[in-house]
Amino acid sequence: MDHVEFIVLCWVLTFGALAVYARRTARQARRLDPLVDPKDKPWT
Amino acid sequence: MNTSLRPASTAPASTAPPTRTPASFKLGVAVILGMVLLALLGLFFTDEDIVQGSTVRIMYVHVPTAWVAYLAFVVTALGSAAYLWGKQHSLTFDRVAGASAEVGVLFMGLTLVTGSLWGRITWGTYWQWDPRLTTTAFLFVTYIGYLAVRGLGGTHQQRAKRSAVVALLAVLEIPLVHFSVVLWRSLHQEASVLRPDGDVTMDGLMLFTLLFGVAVFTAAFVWLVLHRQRVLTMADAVETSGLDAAVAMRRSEAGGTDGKDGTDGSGIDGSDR
Repeated sequence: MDHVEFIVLCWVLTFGALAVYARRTARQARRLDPLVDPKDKPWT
Repeated sequence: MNTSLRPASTAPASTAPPTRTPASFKLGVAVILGMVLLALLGLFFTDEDIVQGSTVRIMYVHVPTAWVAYLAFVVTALGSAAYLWGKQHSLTFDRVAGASAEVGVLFMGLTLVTGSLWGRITWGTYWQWDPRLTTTAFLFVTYIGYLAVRGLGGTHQQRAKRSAVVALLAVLEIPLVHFSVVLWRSLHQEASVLRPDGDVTMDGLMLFTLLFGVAVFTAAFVWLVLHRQRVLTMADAVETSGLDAAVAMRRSEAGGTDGKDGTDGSGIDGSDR
């Protein structure tokens, strides 16, 4: 496969960025959770 | 608003994020499985392109991220319109718009990075002030500006109103980006699937992988926006409860002056948070 490093970098960057964003969102949710009244979380 | 700060729980923290529901969990699992399958298809099972060789494998992430970025910005505009013209002026629409813009900026950034790497191979340069690249970069910067406008402060209603106006203006750039390769002479190739003549010039498995990538990344977008808008809901609730606590403190400090000036003594009217 030609330019394999570029191809792999594209895939790793894409999936990695999505994973980092999802993890950051989950951490923020855990940090906020103790401060939020359950009635302000209509999805629960 | 009748929210109050709850003390931090003494129970051990659950590993599950508090924004998770059974449905969002299933969607998340489906997204991860879909991405694994997409990687297998895109990197190993599809053939190389006659012209581009193996570098065509970048297309299976580049095109879906661009599509999802467009979708995200359209959702932002729809959420903004629903907020502005809805009878309730519901902040839920504003938060969906904000969450969608944030995820859209992430996908647009990935489109620029993967496109830049692909350009290095095919054009010999990471960047060129080409119509498609320039309009895409402009769209990216516009939505970073939208997120900055959201963070300017003020009440939640003020934030929602001004950011909705920006979103409705910003979405007009999308047709300009999409048709830039037709309107001007561009290094960037024309659309492979959504061509003006309706002709699809792609091998069966390559086309399937590309469309499967679009489906998987769209599902990832829905999953991320779902969680993100719940986080924004929690952040807004914390902000409101913090403000309520500050008002209560100010009211107790003001003591005898409470209510004499026609307000609650804090000088803050709580109707517009």
